[in-house]
Amino acid sequence: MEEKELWMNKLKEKLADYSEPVPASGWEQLEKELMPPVEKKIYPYRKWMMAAAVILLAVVSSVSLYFLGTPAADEIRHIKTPALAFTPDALPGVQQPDVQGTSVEPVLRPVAREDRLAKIDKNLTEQKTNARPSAIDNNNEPVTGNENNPVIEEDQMFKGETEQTKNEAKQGGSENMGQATQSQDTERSGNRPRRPSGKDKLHIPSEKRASQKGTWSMGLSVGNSGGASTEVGVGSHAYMSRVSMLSVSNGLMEIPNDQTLVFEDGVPYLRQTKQVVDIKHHQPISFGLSVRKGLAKGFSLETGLTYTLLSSDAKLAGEDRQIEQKLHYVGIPLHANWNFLDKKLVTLYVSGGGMVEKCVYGKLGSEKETVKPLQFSVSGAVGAQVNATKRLGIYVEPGVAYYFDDGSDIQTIRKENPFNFNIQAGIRLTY
Amino acid sequence: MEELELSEQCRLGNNQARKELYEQYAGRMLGICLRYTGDRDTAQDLLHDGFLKIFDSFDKFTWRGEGSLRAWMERVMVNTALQYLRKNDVINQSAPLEELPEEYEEPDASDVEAIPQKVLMQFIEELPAGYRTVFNLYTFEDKSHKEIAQELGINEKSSASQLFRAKSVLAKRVKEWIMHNG
Repeated sequence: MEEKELWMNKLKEKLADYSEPVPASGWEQLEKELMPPVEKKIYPYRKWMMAAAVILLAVVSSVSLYFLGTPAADEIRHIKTPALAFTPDALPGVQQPDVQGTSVEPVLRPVAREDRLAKIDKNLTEQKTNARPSAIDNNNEPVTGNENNPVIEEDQMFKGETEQTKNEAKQGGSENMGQATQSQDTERSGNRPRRPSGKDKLHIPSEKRASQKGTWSMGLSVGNSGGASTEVGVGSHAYMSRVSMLSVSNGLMEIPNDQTLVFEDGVPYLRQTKQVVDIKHHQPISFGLSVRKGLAKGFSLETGLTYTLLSSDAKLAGEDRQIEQKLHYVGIPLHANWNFLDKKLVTLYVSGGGMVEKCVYGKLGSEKETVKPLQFSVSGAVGAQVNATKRLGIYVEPGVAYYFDDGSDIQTIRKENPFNFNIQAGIRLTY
Repeated sequence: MEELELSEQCRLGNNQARKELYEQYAGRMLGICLRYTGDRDTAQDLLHDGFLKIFDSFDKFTWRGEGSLRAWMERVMVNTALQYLRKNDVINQSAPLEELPEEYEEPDASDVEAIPQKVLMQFIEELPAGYRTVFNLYTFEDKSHKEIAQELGINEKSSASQLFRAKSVLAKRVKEWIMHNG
């Protein structure tokens, strides 16, 4: 047996260090399998989601960047505004007596020259856009001017009766021509510029950061009605072009309530003297603090507080120099998010929600200017977040937002471009 | 890299260290796999799986001095091979090829010494799977028949019998080789 052990021991000893030549690709194959485990954890559909999201991110951000950088919008505005300005001067007698509108205007005048940019302006703008803005405006304005004296007293009474008012307006229009020159001119000029802005929504790309979901949009309508004294009038305006609406409401509509409301609106109209002839909006600037509450399955809710500055360079009628319009908004957003990729360092998500904003302070030149109605908006976005810690992260969020008309007469970038692309970045707390 | 540092880096998932470990030990490990399977393709598959297991379970490895890393890796490889053999029921497939004599003449150690490694490996590889497995465990892993029986799910007598048969086959091969090449 000992011998046996010897030869076996020898065998064992000889083969102890035996090394077999290893295939060349051995390590490569091994390495391939050592790396994958990380990727394997990602569900297949998530890969697609990720790919889709990355593409979406790229597209949205590039589109938004493109729009942000386009000077075309500004140019268009400028061009249009001057054209509008011309119209008012020449056309005193207009075929259609938008006496109603005119009647409104007179009311405005007396009250006028207060802060709000007149809704009339918008109306005027709309009229111009419709067809023969210049002619219409002229008629209206002069009429208003004429009527002002009588109208003021009579207004409440007459407003209900459209035809009468129209007739009067026509008459007044002829008469007014002479009187109303200054005020009318200023109004007209103011009106014109605004028109383009309102219509030109396409031109100006702007950044906005607010969003609301369907539920919020519901809230919106309510909020508008409650928010503005002018609401009723506003509502009617919304359905029709404002100018025509005003005229209609005065004459055709014959709604006493509306008329009174119009008067109230008229007060803001007073501004006509200060009407903005040309306005150029700057990109909104926003700051925000948001807090996110994580829910199950990668969903989360987010709210916070945002500050937004809407600034514009405005030109008033009769003045050469530009003044600044600055509106400061404070908003509360509410978003729902879903993380389709949630890693230790990076989180990718889609987000949708809404925001309510309130103008807390505003200035047009040196005068105070505020927007009473709340600004509602809805938005959707895709976002990427780099997590510094579990609760703190830096995020970038390209997205789209739609801003609802707040019903006010103040011209903002939100009115020009209710729908726009934006990019938002910030710091986020998650708990 | 030294064995200790190498193991530490592998534990941390350092790809470079893993590559070094592979390059340093793959040949030996493949030799073991080959010795158990007798088939090169299968051995390479086992080598691959074995290394995956090694990298995956580095947190279970404890450094116990020079050579402990290699010993641990060999153990993982052997277990991988045994797992494969058990799974495919290779061990019990080997019916005795021939009627072996009750006794065999043991070769001299010098005879074994004279035979190249590669040829000795060949002899072992060509053993029937059952013989080979028991022989490997008994000779190279220093297992007792009791342990081998437990490991392979056979009885001790069968283990001893297979070892005996393996040895007699090998002895015969050694002698034949010496006769032809000596």
